[in-house]
Amino acid sequence: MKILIIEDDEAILDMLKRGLEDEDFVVDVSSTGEDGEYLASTNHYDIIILDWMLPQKDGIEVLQNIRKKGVLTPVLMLTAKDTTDNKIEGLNNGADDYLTKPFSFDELLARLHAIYRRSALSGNNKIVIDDIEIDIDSKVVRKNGKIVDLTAKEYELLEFLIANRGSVVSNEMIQEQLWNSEEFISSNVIQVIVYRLRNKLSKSLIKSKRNLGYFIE
Amino acid sequence: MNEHKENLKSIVLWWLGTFVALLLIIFNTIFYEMLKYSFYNRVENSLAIVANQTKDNFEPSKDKIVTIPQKLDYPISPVMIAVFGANSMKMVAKTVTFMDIPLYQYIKSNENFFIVKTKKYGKLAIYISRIISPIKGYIVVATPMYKIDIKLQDILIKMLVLNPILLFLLLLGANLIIDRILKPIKEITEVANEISVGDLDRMIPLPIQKDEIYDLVKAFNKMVARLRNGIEMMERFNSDVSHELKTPLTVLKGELEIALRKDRNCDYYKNTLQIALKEVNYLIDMVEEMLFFTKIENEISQKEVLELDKILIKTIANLKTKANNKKIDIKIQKLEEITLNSNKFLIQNIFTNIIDNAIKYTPENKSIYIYLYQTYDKVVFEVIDEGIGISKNEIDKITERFYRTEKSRNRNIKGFGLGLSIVQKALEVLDGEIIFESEIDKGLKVTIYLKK
Repeated sequence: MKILIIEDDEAILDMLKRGLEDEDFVVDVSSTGEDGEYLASTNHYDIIILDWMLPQKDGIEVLQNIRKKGVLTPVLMLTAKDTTDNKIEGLNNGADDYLTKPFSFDELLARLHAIYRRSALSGNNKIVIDDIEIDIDSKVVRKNGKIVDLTAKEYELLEFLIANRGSVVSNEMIQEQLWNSEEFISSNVIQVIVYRLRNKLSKSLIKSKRNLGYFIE
Repeated sequence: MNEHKENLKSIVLWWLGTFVALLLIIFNTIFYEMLKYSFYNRVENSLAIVANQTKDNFEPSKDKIVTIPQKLDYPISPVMIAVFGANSMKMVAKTVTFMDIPLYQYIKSNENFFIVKTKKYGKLAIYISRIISPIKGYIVVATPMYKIDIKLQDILIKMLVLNPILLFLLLLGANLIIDRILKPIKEITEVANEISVGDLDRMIPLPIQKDEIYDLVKAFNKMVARLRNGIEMMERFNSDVSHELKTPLTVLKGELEIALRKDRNCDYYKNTLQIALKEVNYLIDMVEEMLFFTKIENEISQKEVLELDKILIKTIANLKTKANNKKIDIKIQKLEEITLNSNKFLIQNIFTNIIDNAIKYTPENKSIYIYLYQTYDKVVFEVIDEGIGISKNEIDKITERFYRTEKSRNRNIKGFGLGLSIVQKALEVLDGEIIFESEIDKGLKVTIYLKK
């Protein structure tokens, strides 16, 4: 799952990035509204974590702008403001969820999962394809009831393909999804991951379309 | 509240009513007595005239009682006239109308005029005139008083009827006036009852007449406005404080939770603990600054003669390490020997905060220039830095609590934005002034004026 965090406080940003990466999220960060807005409208993210109180361009403004540009990525607002009015303002401006500081990291994770389920997986937390069963919340994959040991990237790719089930996902999209914008990978890394996934799960699960990418039917 | 207001009105009405009723009784009694006196006086005069006329109106005879002819032009009627001789009190003459009245005691008296109550003829006014001609004796003229008494009674009845009506009307009028006076007070009470901490925007409408009530309403509204300002300040301070507290708390909570999610290696825990310690220190500093802020007000009572130049040198010495760490050169451009009767604690804090601020926002290898001098009525303290400066629209905001300029918003620059508001507050207490002049990226000039 790829996440963009827009937050001006370095300590919070650092904590979130480290914590989420530790949970196998792919994280991009921005400490200003301006940069955040640019990243949000040029890259694909599964969820944007957006701080309300930003210098210059505040969170609400960023939210309004990216929604105007047609970016439908779910947004979780993060703020110290905790009145009902604030929450309503945030939600009315296009936020999908709202978390007040100081928050519990576990709750943040749960909410991120919930948002992701709602937006990408239409609310399911268990996906079954043939004899393969994927538990989104615990990130556990079973084949014929037996747990299959996947690396973070393998799991991420599988989840991404399922989220986009039925449509072809390009190498670029996968690269963008599985790695943050500062990381550079060689082109065959994705190929290797697909190969391993096929070996671990089933040869026919992930299909290739020449020069276009991969898909799950 | 309501009961109390009713009481005020009834007390006023009760006292007013009693007072006016008493006045009416006194004045009416006096008036009635004067009227009575004047009526009787008139009767006496009339009877005297009749007696005088009678003197020449009869021929005394030794044998019989002469009949005095009734004249038509008496000033009073009906009259009974009789003439008695001086010696034997023998009746000499009389009108036909004269009736037998026991007169002896009156004739003996020195008075002329008597009001006599008789069983037969009712109340009579009797005038006795002592004459020497045509005979030596007395002329007695009498007239019944019933006419006058009826008149007086009539007036008395009118008074008894009219006075209570008058009193009633007066109280009614007073009632209306009191209601009018109390109406704005009632409104004030209502609004005051409705005003709670939550809605201090309420104002009592000012009455049209600029009277005492107007002043009261004005004073009341001003008081509410002052309260509102105070509460707004407190609320803002609270919200600022909680907001500022939430950031380090978020980091603390998040870092600790993340560290505890899995088994980590030693370095990871060490790193987490270091971050936690940093945030805790930040919180401690913040709480201390906030407490300090509330202390300022109590300081002003302690004033002493201060040598400002020495305090400034000491302050600069204290900040020297900090400046040296950033290789910042503090240059004292002007330093006059100045003594001022002020508060040491506040002055030290002003110097420290302003210079400390300059060090904070000045990049390495730059300079800070300090001036301390006096004019005929002021002490001037100036600090000019070569720091990041501040834009014009931000200048007004920099003394607000927790305000950090956009560029300084990251918490790497230590401070909570309380420094300048502490200075501002201290200057408020010391009756001083602070002026900022700046151009972005060119530095900031802070000028502080202290009254001598």
